[in-house]
Amino acid sequence: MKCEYVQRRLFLYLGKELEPFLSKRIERHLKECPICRNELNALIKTVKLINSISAPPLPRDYSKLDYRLMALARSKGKDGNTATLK
Amino acid sequence: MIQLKPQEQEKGKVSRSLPSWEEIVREHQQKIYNLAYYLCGNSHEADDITQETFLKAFENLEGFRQEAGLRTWLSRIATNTYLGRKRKKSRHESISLGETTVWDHSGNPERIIIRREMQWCILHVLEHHLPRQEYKVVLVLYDLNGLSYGEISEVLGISVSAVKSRLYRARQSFKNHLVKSGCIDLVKDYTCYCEGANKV
Repeated sequence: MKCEYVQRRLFLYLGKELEPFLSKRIERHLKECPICRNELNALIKTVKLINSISAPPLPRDYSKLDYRLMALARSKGKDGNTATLK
Repeated sequence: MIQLKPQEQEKGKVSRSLPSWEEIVREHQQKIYNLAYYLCGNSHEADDITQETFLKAFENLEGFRQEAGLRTWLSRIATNTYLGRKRKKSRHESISLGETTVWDHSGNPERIIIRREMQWCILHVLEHHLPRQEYKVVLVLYDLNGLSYGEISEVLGISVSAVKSRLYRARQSFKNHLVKSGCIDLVKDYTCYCEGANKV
């Protein structure tokens, strides 16, 4: 199995999206190939890093806004009158 | 624009088969705000995009086809709203560290600063070091907002295989940038220890 073939499938391997027989072949390759192991570790770090962003709290409760009024204001704005969203 | 029957207006109902408008907003607002924030990297703009998204959804609720989930539909509006605003703005507008929001319950000031730098780095790489805007969008939708391949395919109007391909390229670009900057070797327990030495 060539390194390029393995590396193109590492994300799918990480996500357990490969057929079991292919996963096993990739696992065997990873045991023998330090280059692909490094690549896998870099990908694991990358995905975990991206996922480490924390969710900011909501600045307001959007369900409390008056959407009818906002929509009306916008439609008037489109007609040439001044209107703002907030 | 959606026309509500008087009795529906009183109850805040939008359709017999849908929950009330208030319930829809309450259920989806955090996910939509997060999506907007991850896309633009700025809490003020995320607030504007979220508001705009719900307003557009309110105006077009009658046209909502229920074969798409509400979350998918709202995500599509939010993504398109972001892309529309982005086209109007300068490509090189940068994210300020002061605007980076970190939700850390530890109360440890040092940890909060480190995480804030880390978060800034991630948002900065997303904004400036992915070769294509569409890579960032698919990465945010999948890795940060937890949408499935199928849902992203509906949000972006592309095939599932195109979603997978874009996601692969996006993650690869992100990883390549981290390797190139040297940050990949300095990341431990997923906080940044380069202390800004590695300019991303």
